[in-house]
Amino acid sequence: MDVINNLLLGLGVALQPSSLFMCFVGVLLGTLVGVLPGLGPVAAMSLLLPITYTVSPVNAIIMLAGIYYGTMYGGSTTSILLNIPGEAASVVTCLDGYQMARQGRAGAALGISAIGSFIGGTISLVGLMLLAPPLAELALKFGPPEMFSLMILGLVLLTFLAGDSMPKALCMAAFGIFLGCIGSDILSGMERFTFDNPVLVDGVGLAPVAMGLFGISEVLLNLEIVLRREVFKTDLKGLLPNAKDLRDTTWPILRASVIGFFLGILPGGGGVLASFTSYAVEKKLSRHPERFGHGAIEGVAGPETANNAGAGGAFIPLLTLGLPSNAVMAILLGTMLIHGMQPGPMLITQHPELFWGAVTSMYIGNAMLLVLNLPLIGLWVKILTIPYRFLFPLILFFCLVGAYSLNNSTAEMVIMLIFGIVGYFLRKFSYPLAPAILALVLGPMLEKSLRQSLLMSAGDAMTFVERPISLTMIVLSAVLLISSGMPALKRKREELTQASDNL
Amino acid sequence: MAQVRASTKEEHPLASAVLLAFGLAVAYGGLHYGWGSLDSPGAGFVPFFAGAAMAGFSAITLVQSLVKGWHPLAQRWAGAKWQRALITIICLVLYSVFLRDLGFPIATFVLAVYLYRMLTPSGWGETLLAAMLTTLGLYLMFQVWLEVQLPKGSLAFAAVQHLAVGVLLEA
Repeated sequence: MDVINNLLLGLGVALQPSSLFMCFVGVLLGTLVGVLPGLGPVAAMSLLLPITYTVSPVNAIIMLAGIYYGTMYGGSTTSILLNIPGEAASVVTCLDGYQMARQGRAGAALGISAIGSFIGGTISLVGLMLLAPPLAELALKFGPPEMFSLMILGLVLLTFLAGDSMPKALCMAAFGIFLGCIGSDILSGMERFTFDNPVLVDGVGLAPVAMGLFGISEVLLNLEIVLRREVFKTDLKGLLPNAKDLRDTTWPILRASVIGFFLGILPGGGGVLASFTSYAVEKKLSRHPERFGHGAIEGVAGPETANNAGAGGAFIPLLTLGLPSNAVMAILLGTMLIHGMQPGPMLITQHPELFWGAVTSMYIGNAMLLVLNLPLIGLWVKILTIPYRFLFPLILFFCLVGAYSLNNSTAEMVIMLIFGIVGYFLRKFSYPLAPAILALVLGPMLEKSLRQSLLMSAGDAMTFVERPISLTMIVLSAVLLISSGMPALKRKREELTQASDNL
Repeated sequence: MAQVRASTKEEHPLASAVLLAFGLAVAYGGLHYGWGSLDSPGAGFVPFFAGAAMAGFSAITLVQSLVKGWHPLAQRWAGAKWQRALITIICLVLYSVFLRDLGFPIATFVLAVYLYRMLTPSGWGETLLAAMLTTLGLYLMFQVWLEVQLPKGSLAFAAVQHLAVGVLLEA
């Protein structure tokens, strides 16, 4: 009964014309970003962050969330037609999707991808609705030591999956924590690392750092290389899969929905891990695993369903614990903080309209995406042919003007450009950026939790291991850190990151 | 299709050395701000440990690169048109510096012309049209729709731009 009442509350918010409009803008932009290689969801959300300052908090979250799961839909188009993944979670779709296109079955591949994404997204939202409230209740038992340990676990998990070098990923996490320390200390008010520059007194904002690290650096790197794209010319008739396709993909889609949802919940999880795992599972369970890699429709349906289900699951730690599970969620967390909202266990009770409004708008957004992705496939294919020389100036201008609009100041533009250069060099030397952004967002909260814990315990560091929940998370973090050195696991992580880096 | 991007998986000591030095500087800064004590951590407590962690992990990657050996630094830019990236970033910095004086429309138009001609120079007509549409589109989106106060430039530039924008909108 509660769930129904909450859904009705959420619908009351999500069906407002302004919310519907922002949802539509978000999923449209997300699909566009997913379709166009060279700009992932993190960069796109970073570019649009300044725009969200002018709308209400719930509409800001609705739009940014729409971009996130929209990119999962759009990413499959380039994977299938170009053999270039539009974003990291669609990497594995290239394996069988492109082969299906070569066999004249691009329409079926695109169709099952959209249908699977819709089902995966919807199932994960049901899971979100059912799991989030009890999880939030559990999180109410968390004190500062538990919050600190949870954030450490989140950072360690993300670094575990972020790159093939744990020391590099952990170095970036520490860098992000340092960035979060710039500005006035929250407890004492002392200015740290400002060098008497008034611009830095409030710290380096998430928006210019994210736009610089992800947006500007991506463009700079793309300018250096020769990007040649040939859209596979194929007949796109028959977007709806036939009866055999539906029979073959029913169980893969259902399995992928569950796999994706639970993997998405894990801090450090999300679409990439979900899609790879689903592909591996389907290949293992298939009676004809030799078909995989040669146009097996299950190899498209499973990963595409899983990455959307993972996107839904990834909202759970953010909305219930206030812990972003990946860089995208870190951007959402930053947005909520900027709007004066504190994500965490109290969010559902203090701002039910935000939580349920966002959840119900995701249902609506998934339906919009199904409509956008099937009939408008021809349009997306045409967009694929837009030369990069027209796209990259637009990306740069969005970054520049967006940064300026934050405070009507060119100082933010300069900060963004500095981080653009930093991001360029970090990527040249294979340093992962996601841990830095996550740590930038978590850093101030982590510091506050740590200092509160030590104050409460009169300096006794054992407080983190004497409390069972905190101890569990610290042990898990330690296990992950130690296991990262194990050869077999190291190989698996390298395979994951290598595929992602092939973007 | 072909996608050319330099593979840079192997470690290089330069990056590790820079981050190691940076981490040590941050840790020193943390000490400067006051470590406090365990029962009353000061403003420098977390920065010290963040800097120490950066230095520590960078030291690990530095040792790894020294043990495994490394390819010449130039190999990371082999086959890459790095001059484009360099010129672009210089242009963006100049844009930031001169934006307030020139005003948004002029600065944006000039930069757009350059950027649209950078990768594959097309006809001037096409370039100027694309630059004009970009400037107008951004102006409408940010100034008109989002009500961001974009810089108008010094008096003379502001008057010219006001006139130009008015004519375009009337058209």
